[in-house]
Amino acid sequence: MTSKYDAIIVGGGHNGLVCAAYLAKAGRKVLVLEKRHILGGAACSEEVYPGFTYSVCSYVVSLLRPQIIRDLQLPRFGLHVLPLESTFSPYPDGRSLMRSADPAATRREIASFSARDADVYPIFGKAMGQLARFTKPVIDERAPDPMSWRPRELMQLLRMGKQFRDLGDDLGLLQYKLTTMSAVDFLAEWFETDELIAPMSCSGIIGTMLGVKSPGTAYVLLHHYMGEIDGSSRAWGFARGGTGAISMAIARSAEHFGAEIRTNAGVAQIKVRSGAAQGVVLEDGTELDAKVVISGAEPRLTFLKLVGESELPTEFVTQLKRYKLRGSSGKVNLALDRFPDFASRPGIGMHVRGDISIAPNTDYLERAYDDAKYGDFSKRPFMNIVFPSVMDPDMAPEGKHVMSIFVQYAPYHLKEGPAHWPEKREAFGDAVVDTLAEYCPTLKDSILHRQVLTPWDLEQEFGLTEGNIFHGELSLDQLLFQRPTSGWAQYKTPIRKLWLCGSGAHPGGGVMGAPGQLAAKEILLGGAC
Amino acid sequence: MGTALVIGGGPNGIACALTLAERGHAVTLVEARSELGGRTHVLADTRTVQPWAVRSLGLPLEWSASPEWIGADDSGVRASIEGLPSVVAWRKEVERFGGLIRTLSARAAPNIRSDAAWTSLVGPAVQALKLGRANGLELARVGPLCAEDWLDEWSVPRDAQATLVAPALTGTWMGPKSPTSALAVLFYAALSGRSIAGGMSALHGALIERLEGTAVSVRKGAAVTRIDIADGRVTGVTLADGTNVMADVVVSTVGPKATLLGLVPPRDLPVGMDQTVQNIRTRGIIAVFRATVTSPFFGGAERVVLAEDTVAVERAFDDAKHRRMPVRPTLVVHQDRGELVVHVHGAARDLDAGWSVDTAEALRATVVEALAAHGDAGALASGTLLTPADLEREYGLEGGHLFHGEFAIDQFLSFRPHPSLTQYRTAIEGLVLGGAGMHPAGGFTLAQGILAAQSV
Repeated sequence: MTSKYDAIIVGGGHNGLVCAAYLAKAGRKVLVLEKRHILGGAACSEEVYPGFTYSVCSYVVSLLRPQIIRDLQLPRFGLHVLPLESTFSPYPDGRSLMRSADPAATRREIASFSARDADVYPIFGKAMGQLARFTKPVIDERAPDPMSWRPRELMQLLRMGKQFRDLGDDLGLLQYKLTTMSAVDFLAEWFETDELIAPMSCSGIIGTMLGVKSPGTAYVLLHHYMGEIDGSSRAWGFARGGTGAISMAIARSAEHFGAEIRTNAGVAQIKVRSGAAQGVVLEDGTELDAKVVISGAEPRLTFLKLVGESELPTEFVTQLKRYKLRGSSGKVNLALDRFPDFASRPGIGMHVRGDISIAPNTDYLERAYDDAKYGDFSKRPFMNIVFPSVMDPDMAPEGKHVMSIFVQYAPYHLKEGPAHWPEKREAFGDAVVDTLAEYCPTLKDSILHRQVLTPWDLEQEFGLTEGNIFHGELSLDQLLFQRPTSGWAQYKTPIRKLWLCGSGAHPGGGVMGAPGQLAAKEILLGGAC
Repeated sequence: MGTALVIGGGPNGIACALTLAERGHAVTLVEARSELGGRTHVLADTRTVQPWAVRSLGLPLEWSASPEWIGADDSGVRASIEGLPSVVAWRKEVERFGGLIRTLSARAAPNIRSDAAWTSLVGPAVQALKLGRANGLELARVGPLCAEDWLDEWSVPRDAQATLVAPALTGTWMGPKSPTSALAVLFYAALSGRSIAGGMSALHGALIERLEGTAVSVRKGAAVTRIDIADGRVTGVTLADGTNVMADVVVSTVGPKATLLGLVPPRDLPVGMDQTVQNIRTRGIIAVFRATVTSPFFGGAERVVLAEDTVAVERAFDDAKHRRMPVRPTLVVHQDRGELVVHVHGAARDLDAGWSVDTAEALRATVVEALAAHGDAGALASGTLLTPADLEREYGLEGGHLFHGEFAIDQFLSFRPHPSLTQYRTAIEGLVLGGAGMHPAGGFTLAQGILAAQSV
């Protein structure tokens, strides 16, 4: 039997689209199937309220790989990344701190809290830059299996070992500490000001069900510095037109290379015969065959729902059931009649042209986590905010604004059970707005429309199991050669001809595109299609 | 063989002095307090004491089956958990890694710095190969987990989990929901074996007795104020009364922080070492309550964890984390022949309100009230409480930490307390570290003093 397609990709999120584009570019016949009416998965833009475009879920370009931008010619297909110019942290006592690309200004800002920290800040940045240079290959290569004798694995391990040794003792130890310590403990070795440590530490907890004082949260601090190395390609930023514009650019590129993309085409089942994937069955009953099936969906959903337990080895099912998803975050999008000034720094200055952290101190962040630990949303949450309309006026009517608020913690597993989220949704939204109103006194009066997404909604609408935005906790036990499970961390799966290409595969979540690209590379290398 | 001076008359100090004397050194042991024993007065758990350490010191001690940990809550003492199939299965799982952990704990941790000879990597490589692929991958997966998740995987009920976890968290700054707490629980379980008959006091007695039969010169009530160094080499120590004691080698069994920041003159520290040592985390979160009782508590159970479940243990940790007075501390109780030694989990060294007579009394009252339901309350009236601040002041434990340094992935094995110090020697010639802040971590092993002496 000849298949019409070389590859069918389940899910039109950004990783599925990247994988499709690379395969199509290599001359393969590819079909992408997306359940929703628009592409992008959690990286989408939608006009939810007339005239206002929301980046509904994911709201920044986070480490989008420069080689993907280049290989897939994304600027040609409409990608325009606007830089995030600053990181702003207001405090309840009326003070505030803005860190920006201007070293002198940043130094002055930090010095108003601590002269010592102002001195240390650039030194810290330099050390982190060196580590980022070491770590970068890790996210741009497939994760080697550390307990394997295969020559390819050994070679890769030796190379990484040598790179690690070349770091020297001090940086090597710093890298180890970064991988194992809590964000706060790690930063406290450098800085003395809690007001500085708190907003810096929260990049380590985004999307995880951990606190800033939980071991293992320091690592993600590095991602920001990796972005700096990626340099002019603007790995961190805001996409003109919202996050969906990234997905659309990738989709256009994929189509340009010959991929076929269908929306409103939800996959109900991945067909497996004799331990090998044959194709898929759509929700409307249509059957489609392909030489390989590649899933951009979250691993547990892919295997336990689309494949079925009976087709899988028992050990693998156990691993999947242990796989931690535990969504911990929500999203609130606001359409605003006018700009809500921050009391500590009014006006539309550079401080609102970047991301804004509501993270006044580390105790505050830990209290927010404590609420979630015991099954409640945070009464006083940590928030990461951007104003897309400030950077891209097309996101809202003139003079009006869109406010995108990432909120943590909103644990999927409420103590009453996740199904109770719909009835708590508005109370959760109120907690967010009430907390923000302490920093932006005019906020409440300017809200035209409010969209509240709980982890329950993320699961229902976007297929993010348990509302986990990264398709699985980014914890030490689920990274590298263990993502999603040890033994199956190289995009291959126990089902022949079925591959993974989503955020549940190495190197994990964020709008990086790396899993999609690396999966395509492995599939082509092995001659699977 | 030259002269050696050992700072600290605690279990590691005595073990170190005995080992050095055995090897022909002329040894002086100095102890700041008026009596020897150090932490044997505030610890009670001997199940993690390593049999090889006791043998090496020639201590005439008997071993007995360890009293099992029993859970208790306000309604009384719960049934034994050791018979539960889930716990039995979990203990079997621990033994997949037990041999490796015990082997690693019986020798100096490998030097992983670039100055190490490549041959030093042979040992660890052999260990890794012995472990095998499946066990190696599983250890890499389990280590970073939180204890609760790991035990959930084995279907251990949450109340039984509290009983297993709380004693293992003694040397950590973690709750059962902290990532890597599974590693602490694994190490504690793997290092646990039989207990010393007669408990900590028998060990204390045996150490003292053994010391008396040797030529080790013991000076009690002699606080060291400075380690004397000339040209990067140790020459001896200066005592509080101003006298100098000369020695070729000084082994400090007080904490690495207390030693390198408190006793070594700053100008003699290598550049950057002060920051390195400053970064060692020693946040104590345990107070110690002691009482002599006439009738048994907890129906005579000798080892009791007073906590409903892992949430209760986690909440006690939350109080420590937020530097609040613990409302319902987790109590880890050791009861030996009328002596109660209770570790009160949840009491931060850096309490926001500060440790004073009032706050210490408030905590003491909380502990007494919690214990009162399980025995003759009247007997507790004379019980005393040592806050982490008291532990720091009276026993020289930095941060009030019972193990001189937290158990954490970046503070264990070759990282304890720092890769440049892991093999007991320091950059200062003749200065050796041999206290609980050194490798191995994971429980009271009695190993550090011996391993430090062997490195001299």
